[in-house]
Amino acid sequence: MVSFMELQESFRAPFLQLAWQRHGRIADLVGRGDAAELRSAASELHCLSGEASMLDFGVVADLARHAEEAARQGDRPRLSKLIADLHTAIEAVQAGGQATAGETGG
Amino acid sequence: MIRVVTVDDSSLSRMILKKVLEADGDIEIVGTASNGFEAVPRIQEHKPDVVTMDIDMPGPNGLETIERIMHTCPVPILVVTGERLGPETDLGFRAVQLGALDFMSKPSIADEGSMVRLRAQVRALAGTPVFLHTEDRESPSKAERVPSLPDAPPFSIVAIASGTGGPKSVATILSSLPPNFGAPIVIVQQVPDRFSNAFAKYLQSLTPLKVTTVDAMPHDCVPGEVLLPGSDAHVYFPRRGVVVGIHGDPYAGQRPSSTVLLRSIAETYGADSVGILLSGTGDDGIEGLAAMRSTGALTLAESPSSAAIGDAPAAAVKCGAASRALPAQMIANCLVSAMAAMNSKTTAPPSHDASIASVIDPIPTMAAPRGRGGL
Repeated sequence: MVSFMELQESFRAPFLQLAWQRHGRIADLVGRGDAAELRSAASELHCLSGEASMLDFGVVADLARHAEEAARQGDRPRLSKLIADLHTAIEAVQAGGQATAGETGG
Repeated sequence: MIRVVTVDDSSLSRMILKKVLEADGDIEIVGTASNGFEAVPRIQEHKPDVVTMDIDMPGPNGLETIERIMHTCPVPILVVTGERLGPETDLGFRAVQLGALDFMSKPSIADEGSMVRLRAQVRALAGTPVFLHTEDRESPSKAERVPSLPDAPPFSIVAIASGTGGPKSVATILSSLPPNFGAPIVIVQQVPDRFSNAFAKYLQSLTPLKVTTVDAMPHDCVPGEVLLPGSDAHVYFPRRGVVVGIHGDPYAGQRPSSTVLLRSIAETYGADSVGILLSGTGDDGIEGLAAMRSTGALTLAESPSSAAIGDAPAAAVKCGAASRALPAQMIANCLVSAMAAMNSKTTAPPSHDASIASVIDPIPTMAAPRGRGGL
């Protein structure tokens, strides 16, 4: 039986690779910013939230979900703030010490 | 070995699902697809026992992909998708309407229960007979009315028990009932508690009848009202016309329990009621349906050959709890026809006018088990 910690650790690297890719695309889409691009950003954020949730990286999951809401509402100031927070949260996952459920922000 | 194809646009989600599903050694991911376009050829190539399907995908989304699969290479489909399935949306029920057998949220590796439930549901659905979606597979049209005969026992309430794969059949029945349907309809659909609000919303989108969620306050139900359990509660009729939600112990592992509802109907309405058991895998509701039949109520099961999952209806027929098995559309037609006959009588009270019991060929009544204790 593989423990939760072992499972989470085994997926940390592929999660980070994908999370950074998504974060870059999201920042780019929001920077260009018409309505269609915001919808694409929302879709990326939805995927990021789902992936983080499956791996119990709770802070990233919550921030991505809130950012998805902001993108769908066209709330650019809130979205920009949340994208910056997401960057920090992904860095924390990279550092290896945080981002499980119960420490959620956003 | 149970063979699974996973359809999900996230490569990481596919990796996690593989790890979770293959953990016990009896399930194998034999193929993956990252979008709806790839799904059909993968399924045709691998002929899996089950497909897990994400909903939110670029290109054809999960709903469109399910529809395409069921029209070309039908296979048991379990929707496994993200947070948007929650109380705010009814995507899961839409997916079932289109041919998926069930839906659930993506598992979290921090929640062992969610991973166990996913594997269990894949096992339950593997090998379930599914059929090419055409318009004529044992699906009578709404226009195909069943004649009703006079001078037969009446009914003044309809109770429906529904399990896995059942939302589509519930939708078929409810969407066929007219706005002036003259009896309350009470439904226990086995869904995870977090989806109960979405189910109510989904049903309300299908019918002009008023959909009401029963809570702990006694509620006077009225003809034409559709009654659903509140959050994590049994539905119980303490007397005719009054319904209440009760947070009692689960009955045979279920809360809400179809058997609790149907036994309650048997005790308060007796023969003046119709009990219906739709698609499902377990035995929830069978004992209650038998209790209804023992009072003389009409009890119907969905035809196992037309149900999404025919196990529960087949068991209900086999043990004599159901007097007859009919496709969901025919059940609806029977209800509509009988109600029309009741409405056409102007001199006698509605409860003495019409019947659907006499329009079908009943299976002889068996000694129905009284079952286990109540609440």
